[in-house]
Amino acid sequence: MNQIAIRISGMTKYYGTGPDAVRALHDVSFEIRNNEFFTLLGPSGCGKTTLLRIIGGFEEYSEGKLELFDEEIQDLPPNRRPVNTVFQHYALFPHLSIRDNVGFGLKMLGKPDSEIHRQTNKMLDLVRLSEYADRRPSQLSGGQKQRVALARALAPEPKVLLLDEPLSALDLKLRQSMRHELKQIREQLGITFIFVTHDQEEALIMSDRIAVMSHGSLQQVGTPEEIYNHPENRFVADFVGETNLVQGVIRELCSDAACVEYADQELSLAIQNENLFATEQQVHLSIRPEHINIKPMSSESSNLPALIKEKTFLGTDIQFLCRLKGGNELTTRVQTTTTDCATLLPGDSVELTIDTKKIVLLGD
Amino acid sequence: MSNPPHGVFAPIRHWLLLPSWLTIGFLMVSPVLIMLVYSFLTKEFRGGVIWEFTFAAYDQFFIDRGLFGDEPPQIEWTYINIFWRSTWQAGLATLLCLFIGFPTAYYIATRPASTRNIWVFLITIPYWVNLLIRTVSMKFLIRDNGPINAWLLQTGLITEPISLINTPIAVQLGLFYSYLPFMVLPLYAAIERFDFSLSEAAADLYAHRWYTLWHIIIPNIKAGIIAGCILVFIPSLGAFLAPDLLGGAKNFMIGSLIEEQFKGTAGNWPFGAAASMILLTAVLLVMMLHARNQKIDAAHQGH
Repeated sequence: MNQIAIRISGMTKYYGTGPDAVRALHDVSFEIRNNEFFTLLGPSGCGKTTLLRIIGGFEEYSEGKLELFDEEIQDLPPNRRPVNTVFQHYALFPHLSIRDNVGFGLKMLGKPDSEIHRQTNKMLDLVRLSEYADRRPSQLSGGQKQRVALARALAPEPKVLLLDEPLSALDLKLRQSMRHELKQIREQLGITFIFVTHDQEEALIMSDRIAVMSHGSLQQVGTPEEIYNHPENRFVADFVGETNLVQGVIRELCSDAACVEYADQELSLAIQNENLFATEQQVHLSIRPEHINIKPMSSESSNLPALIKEKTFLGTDIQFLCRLKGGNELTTRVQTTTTDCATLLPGDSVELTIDTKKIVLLGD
Repeated sequence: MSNPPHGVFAPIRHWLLLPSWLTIGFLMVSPVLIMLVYSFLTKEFRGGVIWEFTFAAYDQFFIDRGLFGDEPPQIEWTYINIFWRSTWQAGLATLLCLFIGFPTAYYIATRPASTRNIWVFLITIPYWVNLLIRTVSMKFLIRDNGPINAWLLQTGLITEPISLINTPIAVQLGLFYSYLPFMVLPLYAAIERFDFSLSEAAADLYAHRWYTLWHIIIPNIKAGIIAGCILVFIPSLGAFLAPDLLGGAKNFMIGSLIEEQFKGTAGNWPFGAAASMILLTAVLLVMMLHARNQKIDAAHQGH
């Protein structure tokens, strides 16, 4: 049932040759399932756009293999791949009407006029732009152009749709509604979306699965929950969502738990694989701000004592930057409505409680 | 239009425009007006004009009244033919410049940004040399015993030297060489501004590369193509060095005709001025037609 739409194996790409060559991709391998909303996530320059352009046929690669539905497609030029792209800056043809833009791919495929007309109307309906069919791209707003670009790429009914940071040029409100719309359209049409973004929030909200990339290498592939709750390394923990990355030392180790010393506290943490760790090893702990509770200091507490250094109001949440005794700092976030911490101020003494079940232990 | 700037220059803004107005008024408009007036004056035999109003110059251009002016008037074809020859020579030179200039400009515009300026610089280098010298050099290149014929003979491609000098082909070569950069530079500017993600989008949507060139790239750099064509066509139409030096008497163009009227003592200033005015009118008509087409285009696009 779960057919593989795209299989990438050992993909490596260098820009330039010789000693000056820049490595854009390093031995990247993963699979994208059919009908999946798959996101390539990473900071700028991580190779995610290069990878998308390789799939689209706009870039060549140095080593590796690219398969589309079990067929190698590396020798096919872009105009012969059953894959369409929504470009970052839309790339609508300014001299053609919206209708001709949307119908362009079908026309190039040699479809009869009646079919082009029918399919174009269907696509314009899908993105709710039917009344704009005879306008030019320059007469549309950013969000409308975005939807035309989407309709144009979807019209030839590609097997896979590539989206290169399609929402980055829109303002926040529009971006939020487009996220929703993109997700809906994908569910309606049931085709594979490969979505490139540097916005981790966008990736978490929209994707079925996410591939996190950094410096041309794949860091982790997984569902949004896996990526967020079980990051495999420091980069993923830090890049996806906000976290406190702190150092600790493993004091004791048994098959499913480790005792880690951090800030004069012994924390007992669950671990998946004891072979990854050793006693007396320096490790990193990823502690999400929402997993640290904060309350005013009480005398008989065994919790972490701390001083508030900064307080930031975030709307639904309040964020505190706290300094621990040893000089360590932790960021904690609590919901404005469910706490009596609203009155806490910088300089106040507080105690912190860490939900140890949610701490992620990361080697090196 | 944006509002005029309200800055420190606001009180004296009009005075700062004075040099521009003086340049346009004195150096561009007044010479044309002088020519317009001269074209309606009577000729003085050793050059110059007599201040007596007449249509004689225009009459001479268009109407044939026989050698002594006493025959029934007929259309004078001599000058109209020269005019017509000039037009197609200039048109052909423009097309030649476009066909050679487009790939050149495309190549330059698609180089890495750091090397583009070097290419543009190379294109302009020949223009540091005077046009006369360059035209004479062209003559040396293509004459019967010149290097091109010598090379062709040596390689055995031809057995007789190709006689190029004093042919329309020689004029074409001269015009092409004189005005090529006027085609390359506006084309380069247009192609450099072209968003190549549009051609990627076309390829992504299954367009063949020739289709992309004709239906995506060319429509979007049309302004540059038209600018280049105007910049080559207009000076070619009035050119006199290339036709004089390379084309000989048989390939006389309107520019040479006008030049003759003002050179030495054999000339006829009112006739030269009238021919200039006729040329100017023709050029203006072409430009107005172009402007009207653009307006129609713009209206069609809803701007």
